[in-house]
Amino acid sequence: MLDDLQAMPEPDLEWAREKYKAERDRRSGKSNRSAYRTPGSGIAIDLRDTYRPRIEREVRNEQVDAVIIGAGFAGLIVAIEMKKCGIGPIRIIDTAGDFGGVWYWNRYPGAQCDVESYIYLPFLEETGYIPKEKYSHQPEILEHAQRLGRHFDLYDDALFHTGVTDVRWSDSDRWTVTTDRGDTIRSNFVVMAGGGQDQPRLPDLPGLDEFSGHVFHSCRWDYDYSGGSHAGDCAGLEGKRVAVVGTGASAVQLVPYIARSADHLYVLQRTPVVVGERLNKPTDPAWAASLEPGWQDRRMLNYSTLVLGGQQDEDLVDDGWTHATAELASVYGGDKSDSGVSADEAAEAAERADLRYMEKIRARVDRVVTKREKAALLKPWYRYFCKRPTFNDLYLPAFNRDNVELLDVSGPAGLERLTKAGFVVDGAEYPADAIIFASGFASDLSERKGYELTGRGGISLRDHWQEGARSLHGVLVHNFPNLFLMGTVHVGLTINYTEMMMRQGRHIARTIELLRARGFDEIEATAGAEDAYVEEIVAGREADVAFHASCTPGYFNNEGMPVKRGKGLTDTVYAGGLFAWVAMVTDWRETQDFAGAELR
Amino acid sequence: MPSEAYRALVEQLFAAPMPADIVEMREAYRAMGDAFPLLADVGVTKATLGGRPAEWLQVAAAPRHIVLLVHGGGYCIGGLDSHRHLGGEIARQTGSRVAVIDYRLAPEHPYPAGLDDLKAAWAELLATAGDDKIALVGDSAGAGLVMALLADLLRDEQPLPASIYCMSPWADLSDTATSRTIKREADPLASIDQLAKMAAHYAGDIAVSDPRISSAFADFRGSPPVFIQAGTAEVLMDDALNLAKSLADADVDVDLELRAGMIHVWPWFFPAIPEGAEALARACAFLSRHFADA
Ligand SMILES: Cc1cc2nc3c(=O)[nH]c(=O)nc-3n(C[C@H](O)[C@H](O)[C@H](O)COP(=O)(O)OP(=O)(O)OC[C@H]3O[C@@H](n4cnc5c(N)ncnc54)[C@H](O)[C@@H]3O)c2cc1C
Repeated sequence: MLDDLQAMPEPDLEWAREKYKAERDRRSGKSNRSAYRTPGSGIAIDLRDTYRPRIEREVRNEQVDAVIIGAGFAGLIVAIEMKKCGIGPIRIIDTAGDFGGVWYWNRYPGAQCDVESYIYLPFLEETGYIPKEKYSHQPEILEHAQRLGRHFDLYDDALFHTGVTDVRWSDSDRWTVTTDRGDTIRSNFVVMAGGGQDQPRLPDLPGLDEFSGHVFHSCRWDYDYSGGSHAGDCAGLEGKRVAVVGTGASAVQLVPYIARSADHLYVLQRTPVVVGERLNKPTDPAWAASLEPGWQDRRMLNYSTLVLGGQQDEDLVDDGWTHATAELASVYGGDKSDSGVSADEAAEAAERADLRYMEKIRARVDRVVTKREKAALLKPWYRYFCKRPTFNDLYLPAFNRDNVELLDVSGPAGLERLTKAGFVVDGAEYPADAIIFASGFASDLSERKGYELTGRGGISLRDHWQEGARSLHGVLVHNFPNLFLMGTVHVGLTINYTEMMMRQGRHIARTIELLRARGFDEIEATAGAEDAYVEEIVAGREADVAFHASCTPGYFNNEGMPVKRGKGLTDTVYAGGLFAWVAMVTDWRETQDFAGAELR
Repeated sequence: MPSEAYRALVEQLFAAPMPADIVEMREAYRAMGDAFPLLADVGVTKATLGGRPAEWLQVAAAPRHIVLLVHGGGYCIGGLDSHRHLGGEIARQTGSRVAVIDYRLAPEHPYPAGLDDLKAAWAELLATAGDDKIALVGDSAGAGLVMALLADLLRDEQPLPASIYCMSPWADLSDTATSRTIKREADPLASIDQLAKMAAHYAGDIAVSDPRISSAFADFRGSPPVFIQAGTAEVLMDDALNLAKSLADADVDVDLELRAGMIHVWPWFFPAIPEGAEALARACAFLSRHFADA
């Protein structure tokens, strides 16, 4: 257990600052530091859906009330909330062949949610389903998305294997949505629920086309090649030399599974990830039977209150997330204590707490990984929330296997290129039969939508967001009437993504319901209200931007490169955390008469 | 049975002996140490200690206690580069901060220059250690220096280290011990002629058998526990035995570990040979145990 390590002496703050800085500097300013590109830039990676055959259907030419782009949990939740409010007909459109979003696409061996399934899987009470384990694996999560589709009768509203290519406003017809199937769908409202993790990110590597072996990204797992299933047993990898590029959340989950099958596994690491304890367990039927109505809402609330730094009598979820956030000042905002200490003192206390916690994380590496060279390389040297922490009990032990080789690509040359027979790290060539990119997803706001969005007067969202995201509450956008955003831009966050989507989905549905109840059909943020909100966001994030600037390069800090104010991933978040945001939008909607929005 | 890696190492050392010239020897030693890569989790901080260049090696961000590592090299060679890997590993295994100092070397600086540097470093550490305890670690000539410092601390009734770890001490600079001849063929590292030259460089005007130079014969009454490792394939084996006897004569807790077939300061080669890694682990356990003692 992380917690029963012997009492730790006072951390050496000065030393740690130096060490962290050295680790950051070593990874910054090198040739391939921002060397990630998204598909479409000439990379030979196939992003088509190989999981499900495409079914031919009639071209749609229709008028609906709302189009929802994206059939992941965000799209599902807002669709369900709209139905509850009597909004319809709706169309849910996704390039995937089914509901599920990231859980449709990410089927790699070992894929699993890292937030407890009893709060991550939405609408458990409505559907009467109890997950089999504390942390569900992908097949069960995908099944639950399908269950929501059936239970709330959404399949008839969905257009799958359909990519939205254009979304355009006209004052006469409102929104027109066009798709790659030739559909033309007119709609009063549009919800952007396309997620933020649908465009795989690949290192910008010379030789990617030269490599004669097999290449794929973890979010399009090629079981035809690997054999086996989500549960492992990838017989197709037997006798093969396989390289996994990246050591983020996906790699942590899949490495232990393929290590068992591959003859030799290289794990290419730029920055070691934080690996906390998982302690997954099957659901106790007696506990499940004891749950009282309203339990899921209470559990979500309890969890988010705790991870946002608030107080609760009980820690219902009681896991790595709640333990970590209990010991650390949360960077997600929320309760800021005003116990009379100065800001500097509070910051230093937070830094000390962080350092102690990270020492436990590093000590765990030493305890689990027997080879000292590997252990040394696997220790993360940055503050806990610099990168999304992971929780896993199989990843670190996998490095004790003789067939698993850890390659440090953080050096000046790093992963230089692919060759016909393999890849080159720091001048040395390694033969490989397959290269699997577990290198995460494109996080650049403007690059990942895949469709043009044009608002009033022909202005595109891309142009409107040229200098960074602009919105009111992360929901409405000036010049884009009746468009609703879902996701992480300009909203208050919590760790549990689906809880945020529940809150956003309810807010959107209720906004439309109230709008209509008051006799209006259109809503749009005013320019002034949008300006003021953007200012509030940017000002509120300065501390966080400084925090992330001190981290090793990664997607939270634009690979360590300077970003325009208001454009990075971390300075586009509402500083108060989820609950403050919910309070703000509820007040705005229910009592402030949609102040800052124009109703028509 | 020595490991395959160990046999290969010894073979390689016999095949490529150290150059005889001091300047060349310094470079060769530096390069040998440098060839052992520092592991990714070791933090290196430049410092000065006792007025000399020094380095802190640290792995734990919440370190406890201090090790002063005094490098070997016949009082004439060695430095920060030759011992960084060793210091880093001691830091990892003991959770302490390890200081390595670049004390002045003979022949440019004969006795007492190196010892004076060591004393100044010790005094500075003592003044800044706070609640941390300090252990002394040395290999070969470094162990000789450590024991000379200890003898002075005991004589002057100064505060003492928590424990002392000596790897293959060179603590008898006279040329009389029988291991000098018996082990001659077996030792790939230390040649008698070379030792005699280095001893003369260091001793300067003083007799090499003087306890200030040959600390194996000093008075250690009241010393904290000492852990000594030596191999049976070293011409310096008797130094360990004589040192252990002086300590035992003075009623000191002494752990003497003699390993068959091991060469001079084999724990220094720990990244390459399992015998070295195991020996170093035992020594670090000893240091940790005495840090933990009240
Ligand atoms: C492997 C993985 C594991 C994760 N685990 C967790 C976890 O444990 N806990 C947690 O809180 N979060 C987790 N996340 C974050 C995750 O993104 C959210 O939890 C959530 O599932 C995202 O839902 P979403 O509906 O917003 O987006 P998505 O699930 O990405 O759904 C968006 C959908 O929109 C579709 N789409 C996009 N553009 C278009 C277009 N132009 N036309 C048509 N369709 C389009 C995409 O195909 C996709 O299916 C994980 C993410 C990944 C990738």
